[in-house]
Amino acid sequence: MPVSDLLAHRRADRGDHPAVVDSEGPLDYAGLGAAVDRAVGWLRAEGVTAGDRVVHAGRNDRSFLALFYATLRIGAVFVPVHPDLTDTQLAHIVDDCSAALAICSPGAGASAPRTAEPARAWQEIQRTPADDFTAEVPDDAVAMLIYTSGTTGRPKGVVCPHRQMLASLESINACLGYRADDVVLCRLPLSFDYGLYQALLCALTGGTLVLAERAGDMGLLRVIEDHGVTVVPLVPSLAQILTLLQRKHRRPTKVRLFTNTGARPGKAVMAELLDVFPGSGFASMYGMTECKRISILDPAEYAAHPDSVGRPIPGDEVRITAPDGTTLGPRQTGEIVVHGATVMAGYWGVPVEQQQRYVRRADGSLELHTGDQGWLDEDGRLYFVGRDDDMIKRRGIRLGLTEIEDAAERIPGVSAAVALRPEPEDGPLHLAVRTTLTAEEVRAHLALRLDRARRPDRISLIDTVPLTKNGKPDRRAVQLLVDPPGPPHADTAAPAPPSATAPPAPPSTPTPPIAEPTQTRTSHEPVAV
Amino acid sequence: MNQSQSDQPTQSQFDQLVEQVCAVTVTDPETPLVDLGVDSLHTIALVMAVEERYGIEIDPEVIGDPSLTSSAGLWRSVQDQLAAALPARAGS
Repeated sequence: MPVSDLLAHRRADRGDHPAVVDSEGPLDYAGLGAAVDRAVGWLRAEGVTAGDRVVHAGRNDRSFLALFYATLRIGAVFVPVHPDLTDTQLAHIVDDCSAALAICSPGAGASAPRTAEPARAWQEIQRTPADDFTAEVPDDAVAMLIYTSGTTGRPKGVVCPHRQMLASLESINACLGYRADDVVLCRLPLSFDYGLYQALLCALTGGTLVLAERAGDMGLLRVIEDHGVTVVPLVPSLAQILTLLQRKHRRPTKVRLFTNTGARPGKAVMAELLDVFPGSGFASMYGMTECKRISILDPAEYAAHPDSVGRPIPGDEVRITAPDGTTLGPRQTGEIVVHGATVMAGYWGVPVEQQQRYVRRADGSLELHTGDQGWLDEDGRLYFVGRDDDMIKRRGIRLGLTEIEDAAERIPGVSAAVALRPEPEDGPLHLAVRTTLTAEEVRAHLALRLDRARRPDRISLIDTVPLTKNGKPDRRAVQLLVDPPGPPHADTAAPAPPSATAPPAPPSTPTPPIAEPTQTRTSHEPVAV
Repeated sequence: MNQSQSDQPTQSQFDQLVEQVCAVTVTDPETPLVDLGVDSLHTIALVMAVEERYGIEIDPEVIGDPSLTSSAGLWRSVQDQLAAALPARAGS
């Protein structure tokens, strides 16, 4: 069954129930289905057919969902990209997937045969007659490519077939139990899988998706109250924002479940969040785009096992491996390796032997070597310890430090760049550059090449790049070069915002005392040589 | 709220509050907060700190996306609110 059938089913059995609420207001399942019919007509008029890639740089609104379901219904491949990406980043994706249609800025989509700006596309869709065309789509056909950062070079597209996406949804929902009367607040971008799967879980269960964007954070509590939100997927900063707002306003809400994946909010923040939203529980989860979800902690187990990210979801198996590939026993830390129904079909256009994270097993199926470190307890609960040195999560976005270095080294006049690992993970990002340019010039060039989450907070100029014995840039040595140990920076003593804004602790490490961040604070001094 | 004309806080004092709460350097008070590197969380923390400091409520509907505003812009809306709240003191 294609993923787009989820919406077809709800349109048939719950047509008058609100499917989505965006800045224009509510839209029921019948209305969303009708919008999909028009989008199918529009896509077909644009020449899109089964197997074609459609890149979409859209915001959190109904047009995103209409284009998503329409693309899948005609058997084409949806490629969502974050609308804040720069034209250079977007152009790489359009080019890498050989998109037939790029719904983004004309400059970024130049290499696609057809380009349409998102707002224009939506206007045209609304004027297009409904088209009830539905392709025969095999379960193993590709539904989406989700571009994600890896340890090497530029982002790669994770190939997501219909079969694995449906398996992920069923498994996730077996653990989280979204209901037909749920109202899910999606303040995460729909272009991220964590955001998009909220829409799909709602379609699976018949619930309502409320779309919000970062710009509306000030009014989030009002949204939660007005729409009767019951489920809130978090990222650490959102947990802190909600805690800050609710600590002051104490609005009565119907929130029953918070979820989180990736970097987790600190324990103190989570404790206060659950306290200021009485009646709510917390499901701590772990996953990565390469296999969507890996594990979910039953909210009932959070109090007793707050550091765990839960047991593997149904259909997936997790083992922990030593560097030599042997499987380790309970409480031994090693690489988290996943096998099962939700493991996606590798990276787009990359031969399997070069895929690194994906390894083919004897039975032909793919196994995912996450690059993350963790361990299992005797009851099979997973504990996340850390990720590859090169990978960080920043403002909810997974990114590779090498990507930032790669972008800087493409600037004429830059001969080397070393991105330092932020401490904590969400902390200020520091880039050391060997260049004939000024730090301000480097900053200006990077602004054209990298989205905000990937732009360094601080740029330092260096004369030499210390290397490790393997000949790679030695990040620790560079760190000492640009930040010699000594008295803390004057601005280290700047008081932090109220305690809920203490930086999120990386999972497994003890939560730092709140309101006493020890890291050097973000500095926007252009040069710190 | 009880400040006399002479100890009305200035833009540069307001910038200091922004710098303290957001842990950034305000290079130019007219630069949007987001371009100073202030993230959403610190923007909210700033608005709440400002509300508390000046005893005002900043309406999310009115201010829109606070990260798009600048230190100077936020300071102007604070002054507008203070002026509106204290008409009787306007001539003092």
